[in-house]
Parts: sequence; structure tokens; C-alpha cells
Amino acid sequence: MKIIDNINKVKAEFEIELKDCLDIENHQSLYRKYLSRKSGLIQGFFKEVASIPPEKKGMVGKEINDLKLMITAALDEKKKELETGDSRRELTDHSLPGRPQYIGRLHPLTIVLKEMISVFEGMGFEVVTGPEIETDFYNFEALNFPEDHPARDLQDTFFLDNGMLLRTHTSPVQIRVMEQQNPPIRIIAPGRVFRKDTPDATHTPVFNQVEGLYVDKNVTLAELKGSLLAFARALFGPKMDIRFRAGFFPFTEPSVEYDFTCVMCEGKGCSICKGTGWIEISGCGMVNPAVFEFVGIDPEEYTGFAWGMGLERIAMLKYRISDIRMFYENDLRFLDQF
Amino acid sequence: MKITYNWLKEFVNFPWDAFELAEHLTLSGSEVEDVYPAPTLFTNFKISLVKIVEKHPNADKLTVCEVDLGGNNCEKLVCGAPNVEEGQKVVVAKVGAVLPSGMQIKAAKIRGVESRGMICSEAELGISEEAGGIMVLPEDSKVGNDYIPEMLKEDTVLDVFINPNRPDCMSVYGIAREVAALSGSELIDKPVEINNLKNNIDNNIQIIIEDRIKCPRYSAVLIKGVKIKPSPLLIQHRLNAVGLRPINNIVDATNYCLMEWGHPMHAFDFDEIKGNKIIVKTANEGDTFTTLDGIKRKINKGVLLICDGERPVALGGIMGGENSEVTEKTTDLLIESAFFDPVNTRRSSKYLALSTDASRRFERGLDPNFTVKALEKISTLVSSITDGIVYSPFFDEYPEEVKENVIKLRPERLNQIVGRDYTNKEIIGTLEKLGVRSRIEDGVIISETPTFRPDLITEIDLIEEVPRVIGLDKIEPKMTAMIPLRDISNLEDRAIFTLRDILVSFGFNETYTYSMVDSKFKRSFPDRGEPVFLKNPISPELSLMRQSLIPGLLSSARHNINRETKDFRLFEIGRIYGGDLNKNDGENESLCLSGMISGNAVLPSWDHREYANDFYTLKGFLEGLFKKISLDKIEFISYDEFYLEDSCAVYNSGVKIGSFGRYRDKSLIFELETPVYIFELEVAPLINAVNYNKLFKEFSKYPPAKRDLAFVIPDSVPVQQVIDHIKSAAGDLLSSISVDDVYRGEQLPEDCRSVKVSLKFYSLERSLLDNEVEETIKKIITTSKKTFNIDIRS
Repeated sequence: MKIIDNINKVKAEFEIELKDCLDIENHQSLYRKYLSRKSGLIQGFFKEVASIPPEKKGMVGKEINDLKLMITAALDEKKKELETGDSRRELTDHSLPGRPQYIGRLHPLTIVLKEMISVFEGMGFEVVTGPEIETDFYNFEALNFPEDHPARDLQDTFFLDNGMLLRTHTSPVQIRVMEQQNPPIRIIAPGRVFRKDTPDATHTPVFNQVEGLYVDKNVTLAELKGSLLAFARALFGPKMDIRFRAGFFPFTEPSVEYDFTCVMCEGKGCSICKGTGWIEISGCGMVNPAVFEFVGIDPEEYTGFAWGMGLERIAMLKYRISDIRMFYENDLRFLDQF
Repeated sequence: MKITYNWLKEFVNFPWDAFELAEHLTLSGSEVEDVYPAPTLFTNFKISLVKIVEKHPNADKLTVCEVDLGGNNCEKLVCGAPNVEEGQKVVVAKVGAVLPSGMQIKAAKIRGVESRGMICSEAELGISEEAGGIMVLPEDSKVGNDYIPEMLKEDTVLDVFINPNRPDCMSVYGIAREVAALSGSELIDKPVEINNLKNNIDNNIQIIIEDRIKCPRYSAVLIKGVKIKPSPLLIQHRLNAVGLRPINNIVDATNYCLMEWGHPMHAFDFDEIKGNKIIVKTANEGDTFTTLDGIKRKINKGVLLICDGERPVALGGIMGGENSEVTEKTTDLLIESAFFDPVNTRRSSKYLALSTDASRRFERGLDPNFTVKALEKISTLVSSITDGIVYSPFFDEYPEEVKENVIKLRPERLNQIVGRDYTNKEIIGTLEKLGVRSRIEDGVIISETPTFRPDLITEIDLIEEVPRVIGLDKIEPKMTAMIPLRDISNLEDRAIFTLRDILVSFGFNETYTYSMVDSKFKRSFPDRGEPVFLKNPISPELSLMRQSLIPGLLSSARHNINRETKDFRLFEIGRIYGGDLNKNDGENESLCLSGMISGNAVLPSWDHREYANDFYTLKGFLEGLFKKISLDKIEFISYDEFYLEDSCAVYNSGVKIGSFGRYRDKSLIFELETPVYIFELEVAPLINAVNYNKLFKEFSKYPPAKRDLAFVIPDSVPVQQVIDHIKSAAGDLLSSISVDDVYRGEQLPEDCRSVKVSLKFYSLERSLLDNEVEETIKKIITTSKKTFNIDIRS
């Protein structure tokens, strides 16, 4: 029907004109144009109603009325806006910057830790924590580091005056958990560890590890490989692969050093991976039966795997950060990037 | 530890180049950290052309030659060789070159003629005994090239990290054994060939071991009539390549055998061994002894001494003594080859702060059954490079023989741990290649582990060897789906993440700082218990375990303010330390949350609406935090920490859990250009409050009734008390109360302010009637008057 088309046309026209209405004068002319009882466009439509077939009258009448209400409300609001607004009110300059706001951010190590926890929780691992001030027993002895063994030289330890020490790895949490729980056990233990290293681009005296431990019947080295591979792919993408190298840790046997595909070159070989295509991550292995004996788990019945992982190392790979000290400097130009 | 490729090749003919070798060693656990061309002792030796030969003006047997060292760089030198001729290609040692004999070439006048360099004979180059004339090179030799003898050419050094459990790998032969197993190649032993062997019947040297625990075996050989001189070229060259300085043929021989076989030996000057006796015994506390590096060392009673009939002559397993060291004058040698206890060697080495090639091996555990073989090796070598006479049989004191260890290995156990099926043949083959004799009996593999593998003690030790040698890459990754074992959400850990998220939502940046701080802060937080110090800190600046996160935050603030960033909000959640040091198990650690705001509360912008942080900004954040975690028994009570001003303590259910306020500049050393506000809270009460099982609470569908009240409140009455009073007086209908305005002015008494509070009332059931609300308002006004003697502002 022609009248409906006209109603829609008028509606569209009004919307455009309303946008351009910036002062009271203009507002008044709009009012006259649309709502004047004598000459207004709405009034005009009402007059036309008389000439349309009776069965359509109701429908058209409603359309016109809706338009009238809409225009009335819009003009009222506009009027209020024009009256209360500053008379010198300028146009919004859409090109000016918005008002800056404080944007809070998690530390990159927290972000990566969260991601790691969520991957391992998805694999059925539970988060546990343990003390940072440790005894020689938990940090070394129960982990099968005999006293006066050169293996202790691998980790330069901070000692306290009372004979205790700052844990050099998160592995003591393994012992604490196995003392308390019976298998099956599946935990990860994130936390701070300490080594007497002078800070440089790759060392800080304080850093974080995420320990993992899985003890059950029939846990195998192949499964350790699969779990770490799953983690690598979850964090760095499906092209990741894992490589095992033989290693030595007193508390695991077999002991393994594990590498991931170089995240920089995807394994093609680059300066970061020294052309090998692999990036060294950390150590892992099967829980040494001697450790099981320390905590009273029968090594004939149960086997287990454990791994360590440096949180900073993973974050450095993920974000391509080359200096570990950045994490502890808290320069906002660093923190504001994550 | 360094080895060279060619040296290794003498013991095993493997099919790999140096880089492939490095890869295989690395994968099998001996990580190759570096691969590089072997350094050469031959520097300043040039292939040269003899251009002119003239007779020496003042000597019949000498000539004066002009040689072209390449690129027309000519030198004149005096030569005494009868066979020098023009047109020959020869090797010239330039000024500065050092001959294998140790002689250094200098510019000199020989019978009045300036000579700059020397044309070398084979003997002078150390490549043969031929000293009759200069060595003439083939026609096609390239003038100007460096000269390196054929036997030294193209060797490669591999720097290998040996795990502390593998002392057997700390030698060329040990690595060769690994390579043989890894590559399937044959391991080649070297024959014992002693040139001048004499019966030992006339020599009676008595060996007495007083401490058989610390020294289970002591063997020695007597070699007489040696002449001390530089070693053959190859020996010097190889020692140099693996990082040992060539000294003389005897010292070099012990070092060469050490690197080749891994068993440390020590040569005594036999003339200095008094009384034909070797006594192995422990030292007395406080003794001193001068080692061959010339240092007089204090020793304790754990240190093992090797003594002759009169005095100590060596520190067992660590270093020989100055008094019996081999010198230029030495002719007769007593060479020691012993087995010293690992633990005691390590303790002694630690006590003396003296770690040597010998001690590093003994402390890891060597093969007690190799001492005599090692003597055979060194006798073969010494007799091949000197005219010395070796006396046999060797002396050997070995009271209790150490036997091979027998281990039972269950193949199914191996497969169960690795998750791969190895055949018995594979297992036995692998073990045999490692020198572990194995056979199968009733389905169990019986292995005799050799005494050079002290790390093979139990079944698991053998299990490790199989995948290691066959290849860890042969293990297929597996992962069975894992079903969570229990309610796996560690709520405490999750709550910490929640707290972090809340602070982040307030625009705070999370920071991480070290757990150690400057010892200057040791008295700054006296209510946090005994400070915990490191016994062996890196520096005084990192020697105290932090008792508060505030010093770390201040340090981060200073870092950023100094870099012209002044508007920021920082926080850290971390552990603080302190308390009763006799306690254990984490009782001296607790989690703490600290934050700081610096600069503006609203950031500067082009329309200058910024304003600075103040007490209320920070208080607002804390109120927001507590509200978010529904911690509603919080009180803020004015309280000045010495490092804060304008500050409050925070109480939760009557217990202090922290404080906040403006940092009192310099009070905690840090001096900041910008005022900062800081807070610190214990995390435990916050974690307890975080509730992940909240239930939805119904709210009213009906419109609120809103009322404003302005009270004139004297300064002596805290506004919070009035608010608390209104809440209790208003009862259940009051749903919220806020302070909308605080006003002081002329119309008011001087010590009063007008505080406008805005109240919202709701009912869950209905729209509230005006008179219901009015009644409540009246009650509030009258009871407030009664309680505080305050009035509504009219």
C-alpha cells in the first residue's frame, strides 16, 4: 500500500533530521513539520485514512499512531537534551583519544601457570603446595641424594642458620604427598625454588617450578612421554614433538632429560636451538624404588613418574623473553605487555 | 670433561662423524656441551720456500738463508743443516714459536748474523727421531700455510658433561665403551707391552694400609732410570687439546693415562721416598702439608695421608706433595695406583676446598680392580717414551677383594616400567655390550655388574640401561585418558587466583619480587616473628627472607618512578617468612597480599579531570576487595605503622589482618618522588572467605523507596558508627546505605560536619508504603539523637 511506504519514508527522513538537530530553533521547525495539528505530516496521514478501505483502516491507523508516538517521544527527549546541555556544547570529536583507564594485568608467570594448571587439571592432576623452607631430609635425603654424594653439587643450596635450607626444587612436595596419601596419586606442585646463582640473563636465585607426580599401578615411561607431549601440544600447538635424552637424577630411574620441538623454528634448526631443532625443557623419569621405600609405598605394586618444569623457562619460550631477570624487575613496560 | 675424536677412535671404530657422535652421546646421557676443532700447539710454524742459501761469513758449517714465509714475506735466518738447498719447501719456526721440546724461537745474532726463525728438522718438530737435517716437504706443499704435522691433523674436541653417577665415563676408554654399546662396534683394548721389564726381587717396598675403609687397595710400580724430558708430540698435543698443560714426560704420562683410562695415578720421585715404605693412614687434626702446587694446607683427621717411612708425601686421592714431586733431576719413580673411598675423598676435598682431576673421580667411585691394570698401562707408556726399567711384579696391597655384584633382572618388570616390550635377546645383548655379563635362568636375567659400574646396584639400575642404550626415541608416547582421582580443585590455590583476578579488575598490575631482601630490613617488621637469614647469601642485599612484601613493592615503585612512570597500581601475592625457627613444615611461611597505588586515581587526560590518589582511593579498593569476597566483619581502625602515615589497621572479626595508608617516605629506606599508598593483608582470612558455593539471593521486584538524611555529626563521632547505628535501627527493610556528601561550612558548628546519607528501602513482598518508610526514618532520627546526640540538618 502506498500509504505504508510513505509512512516508512517519513520515519526514515525524521531519523536523519533528528540527528542533525542541534538547537532549539531547528527543534521547533521539526516539531512543526511533523506534529503540527494543521500542517504536520502526521496529521496529513490521519486525513488520508478516510480514503482507504475499511478492513485496512485499523492497521494503517495503528502504524500512523506508532509513528506519532515515536516522533513525539524522540522530540521530547531531544528538547530536554538541548535545554539542559551546555549551550556552548561542542560536537564530540571522535578522533580525540578516550580517557585512559588503569588496566590491571596478571604477571606473565601467573598467566602461564594458570594455563599449565588448567592443562594438567584437564589430565586429572591436582594442585598441591609445600613449604619453601625445607629440611635436608625432604629436599635431599628422601629423594635419594645420599649425604656426601657429588649429585648434591648439581644444585647450589641456600642454607639457614638452623640447619634448614631453601628448597632447591619442588620435588620435596612429592615426598610430602606420598607420605600422606596412598596411590593412586596424581599431583602437580607449583612453587618457588631457590638456587645460589648470581642473577644473569638465564639465572635468578629465585624461580618457579611445576613438579608433577603420578603413582599408580602400571604407570610407564611411555605414558610419561605421552603426558608431556600432550602438555607441549596444549601449550605450544599441535606441531610440538618431544625428545627424551638419558639423564641422571637420584630420585628417578630411568632418568630422562626432555626436550620440546624448538618453538622458534618449529624444529627446522635455528640459533636459539643451536641448529638441533630441540629446546631443552627439564628433567623427568620413573620414581626410583628407593624413594618409594622412603615413603612406604610398595615399588613392586606401584610404579610412578615425575617431572620438573621451570615456569620461567616455559614463559620465556612462550613469549620469547630472553632475560629471566625481567620477571622480577616489574618494569611496567614489561608488565603491560601481557 | 674433554676428549678428542681421534683419541676415541683408537678404542672403537664407530661409523659416525664428530657431530653424529655428539648426538648419540647426548641422547644416551653423556651430554656433549661443545664440539670444536682441536687447538694446535703448532702456531707460528709456516710452510716456506728457501729462496737464497749463502755461506755464513763467520762459520763453516752454517748457512744464511732467505726464506719466503708466504706472500713474499721474507726472513733471513741462520741454518746449520747440511741438506738445505735453494728451492726446497721447508717448515720455518717463526720468532715466537715454541718447539715441542719447550724451546722458544727468538730473534738472535748467530756468529754476528741476525737470524729470525729456524728451519726445523723432524726431531725438532717432534714427529720423529730424525735429527740429521731439516725436513724437506713435498713439491706441492703450499707456501704460506700453517704447518701442522700429519698425525695431529683434523682432530675434534668434544666437551662432555658426565653425570655424577657415571665415574666410569670419565675417560676416553669409558666413553669408548659407551660408544661401542651405542653403535654396536667392537671395543679395542690396548696390549700391555713393557720394553724394559725386570724382576722386582731386589726391591723391597713395604705397603702398609692403616685405614682399610678409606683406602681398600694400594698398588704401585717402581720404574728406574728414566730421563725427564718433554713428551712426544702426540701426547703433548692431546693433553693440550683436553685442557691439560704438558709438563714433562712423566707428569704427562700420568695425565695421559688418567684421561685415557680414568684411573688417577701419582708419580713420586723414588729418591724422596724414605725407608722403602708406604704407609696409608689418617692425618692428625691440625697437621699441615704442602701440596705440589706449593700451598701449605691445614688438614683435619679425616684426610688420608700417604706417608713414607718418615713423613707424609701425598694427600690420598687428592694431590701429591711438594716434597716428593717429580723434578728435572728425577731418575727413579714410584707410581701409585690406589683405590680411595669416595665419601672420604669428597669430604676431604670439600674440607680442603681442593678439587682435582683425581678427587673428582675418586669421589664418584672408581674401579678397585683396575689399579694394577692402570699400572700396566702407565708402565707400557713410560717404557715406550723413556728408557726406564719397569720392575715387576708390582706392589699390591688389597686386603679384601671387591667382587662383582649379581643382580636379577625380570624382563617383565623392565617392560612394565618402560611401557615397551623388549626381547630377552635385546636385553642381554645390550647389557653384554656395556660389560655386564648376563644370562637367563628360569625367565630371569642374571647379571654380574662389573666393578667399574658402582651405579649398578639394584634391578632398577639395570632397567634404566636398556632403553638408554637401545634408544629412548624407540619408546612410543602413550597416554591413557585420566579420570580425576578426587575433587581435584585445590580451593586454596584457586582462591589465590581469584584474589589476583579481583586486584586485576581494579586495575592493578601483578608483580613478582625475590623472596630475599636486604638485611637492613631485619628490624622493620618486628611483629612478624624472628627474621630468617641465609647462612650463605649471594650478597647482603639478598640475605634476609622477606617478612613483608612491601620492600619489594617499594623497589618496583622506585624502578618505575625513576623511569618516569608515576601512575600505577601494583600488587603481589607471595610468601613471607619468619617466626619460630625451631618449627618445621612450612610453619614459618605465610601468604601475604600487598598492593600499592602511585600517582593519580584518575589518569591524566586532555580535559584535566585527573585527581591524585589519597587515603580514600585505597580504602575504596580494600572495601571493594572485601565486598567481592563477602568478608563483612571488617573494621578499619586508625593505627600508625611506623612506615605508614594517615593509616589504618584492618580487623576481621576483631583480629588484625593488615594495615594500609600512605608510605612514610624513607622509613623503609626507599625515597620516592611520588607519594604512594600501600596495603598489606594476610591472605589466609581472605582465602577462607572466598566462597565458590554461593547461593543466589532473592532481590525485590518492587520499586525502592529512597530517602536522604543529612546529620550534623561532631568530629568526635566516627561516621562509621553512625552508619552502623542506622543499619541496626532501620532493620530488614534497609537494603543499602551510602554517604553522598560531607560538608563543612559557616552554617555549621566548627567541630562538626554535615554528612548526607542516602538510604534505599525494599521489601521482597510489596511496594513499601510511604508511612512505613517514614516510621523507620523517624526511628533512625530519634535513636541517633539518643545515641550520639546528633541532629538532622535543617
